[in-house]
Amino acid sequence: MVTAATLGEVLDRAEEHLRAAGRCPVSLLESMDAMVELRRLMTVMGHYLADRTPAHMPPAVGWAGKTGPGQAVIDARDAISQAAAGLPAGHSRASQLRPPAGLAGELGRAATALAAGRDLLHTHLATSPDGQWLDRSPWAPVIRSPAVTTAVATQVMRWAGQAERIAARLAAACPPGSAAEQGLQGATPWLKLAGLVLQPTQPPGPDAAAGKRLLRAIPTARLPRRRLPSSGEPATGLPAEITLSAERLRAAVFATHDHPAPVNADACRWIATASAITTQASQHLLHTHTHHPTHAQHLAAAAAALDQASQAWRQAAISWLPIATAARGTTSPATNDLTDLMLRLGRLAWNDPGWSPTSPPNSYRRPAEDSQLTTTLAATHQATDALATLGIDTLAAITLAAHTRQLHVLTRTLPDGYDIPRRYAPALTQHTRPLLHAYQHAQQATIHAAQRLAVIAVALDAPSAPLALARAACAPPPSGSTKRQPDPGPSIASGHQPAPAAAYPASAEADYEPSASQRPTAPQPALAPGASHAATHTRDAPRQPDRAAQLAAQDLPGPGTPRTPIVRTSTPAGRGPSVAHRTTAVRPRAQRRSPRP
Amino acid sequence: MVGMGNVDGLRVQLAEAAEAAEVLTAGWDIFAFIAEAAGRLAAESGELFPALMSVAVAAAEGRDAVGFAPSLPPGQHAADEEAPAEPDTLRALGAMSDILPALASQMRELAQPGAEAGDRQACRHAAGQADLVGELLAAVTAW
Repeated sequence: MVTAATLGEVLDRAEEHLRAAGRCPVSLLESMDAMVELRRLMTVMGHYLADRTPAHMPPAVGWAGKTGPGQAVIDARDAISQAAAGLPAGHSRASQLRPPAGLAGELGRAATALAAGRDLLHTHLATSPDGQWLDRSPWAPVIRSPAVTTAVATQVMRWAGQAERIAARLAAACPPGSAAEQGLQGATPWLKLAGLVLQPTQPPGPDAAAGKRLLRAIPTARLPRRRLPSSGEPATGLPAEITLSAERLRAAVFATHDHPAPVNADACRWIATASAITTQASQHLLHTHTHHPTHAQHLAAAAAALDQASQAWRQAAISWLPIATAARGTTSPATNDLTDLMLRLGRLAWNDPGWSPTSPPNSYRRPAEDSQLTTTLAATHQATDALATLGIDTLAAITLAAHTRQLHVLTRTLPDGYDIPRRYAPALTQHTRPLLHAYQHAQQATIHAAQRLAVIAVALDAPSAPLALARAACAPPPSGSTKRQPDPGPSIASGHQPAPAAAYPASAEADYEPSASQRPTAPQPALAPGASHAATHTRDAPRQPDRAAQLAAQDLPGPGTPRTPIVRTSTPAGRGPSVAHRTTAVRPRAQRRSPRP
Repeated sequence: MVGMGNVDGLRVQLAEAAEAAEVLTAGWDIFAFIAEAAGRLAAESGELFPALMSVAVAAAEGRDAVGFAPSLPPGQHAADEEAPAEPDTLRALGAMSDILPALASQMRELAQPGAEAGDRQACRHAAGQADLVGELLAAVTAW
């Protein structure tokens, strides 16, 4: 989450100018310009709060209604609006392209920086013709989350205090009884009130720090361009490049979430293979740190979880080999970024700048250096989280494809009773069931590994901690459900640390039974049960994976089950004839010939 | 199924293929052979999985590219036989890397403008996969 300009960088600039404004001498000569800029600053502050009110934001989890922090945000917004109303509007000299030095100039620059920060947040959201917010990036649900709303409220509370002090100083410099003095005197109590109203919304210290860190980590929605791995990439730069590839992979998954392409066996084989290799490399990296003086046990558990995930992905990849689909080819944004991710993690893990999957097996292990632990951890966390995200959508698509008979197999893999003079035939339940089971296991094992890594990342304050915080921000509140959730293992975070990985869809986590080596030794109260549609990569609209989850709960159809038009099954233009053209209906030989004795 | 005898048979099959249907059939058999052999080894291997599975995945993509070509005649691949020992399979895979340039060349010839569009597309794709599988196998067998 450090690959693009972040909100923290923009807010730092605003804070810098606000602090400078607080130190500037106040002169009567520029008081009018300063008042205009102060009003502009307050207007932007009010916009930050207005964005968080239910009228503007889709109801966030636990945020709708007229009580609680939502009402405080509305009241604070109104108070700031009242404060601004008494000050003159218009354009000051400070609003020019190059505002002058002095109080008005500093206030103008602060207001401009705050407006830029708000614009950055809005790059993740769009407005539909009917006025509804639409998510434009994987960060959008995070921005709409209560955690970010609380963090924004904290910031506005601080800014209101600074504005109040500046208004009081300006008022003291104005002639007593003048309109300017009266306007400023009228603004200060409203600003104080805004701060007081927001005060009760402030979370306890550790949560406030986590919220601030999450807010500051929000990047612009514009993703950096793909940077192809090169053999000259220095090892020290690989973790940042891995983060970039993981961010891009998550964005690619998000982009196709609502409009998935037909399942493509070529791509699926490669995705499963690359996922197996990536998790293997991650396991290798973590394993070198399992001597850590304080976190050895947790790192070893995370490495074991990654090993499980790698084994599961291997099985999924092998299950794909005899299966074919009408859609073909492995080139897509997701496969490209996944390949980059795999290559970089492999090069980091095996300490070989030219490593590729066909490199000879190398027994050399990168020596563990504690100073590199957090960056190594962040790289593995970013990669595993991205794989988990990809796995959720892939499983949903494959489940639908299996149920709509889009998967085909080599006819020689059919049972003896089938005699089909073609190379491919529609897959039977006996083919699709192991594939789906392999995928479910791989996906759940990957999520489990990501959860373990998230907990350690927060505890060690690794560079990927904001990713864990973002997942936690989108986790639904405890619903009282008794449904068992996967356990991330022994908690090493403080009691105030958020549950970092509860934000994966319930369909992805249900019924996951870790192996004996993964079973936790202590209960995990930090995890929020009942994870469902509020996940980071879910939308408010009905989703295809929900349908997939329903299908997954059913038994797969047999050869004679009629097709169900759930997803589009047409062959993409230029892809050649459909599978159906090249195959014949699967009929047991007994139906066409005399039954076998 | 996987042994040096199969490699010799596939080499002869490709060499004797004259018609498009025969070349496509030989191509499908070669890709299917490599996908199965490499996949079987990858499933049994630990450290070799990345290399062998990369070969298997690329070969399966080539197999399916040919498999949906309009001119590929109907027919089945031979049924599985008992799996041979691992060294035989590895040796067979190594030998296959010699056949792949010829396969790529013949596929490119089939992809000429006169061919049916579906065949052209399939053969272009298959030729690229033959090159890729050949490169991967060469890297693996060079260890």
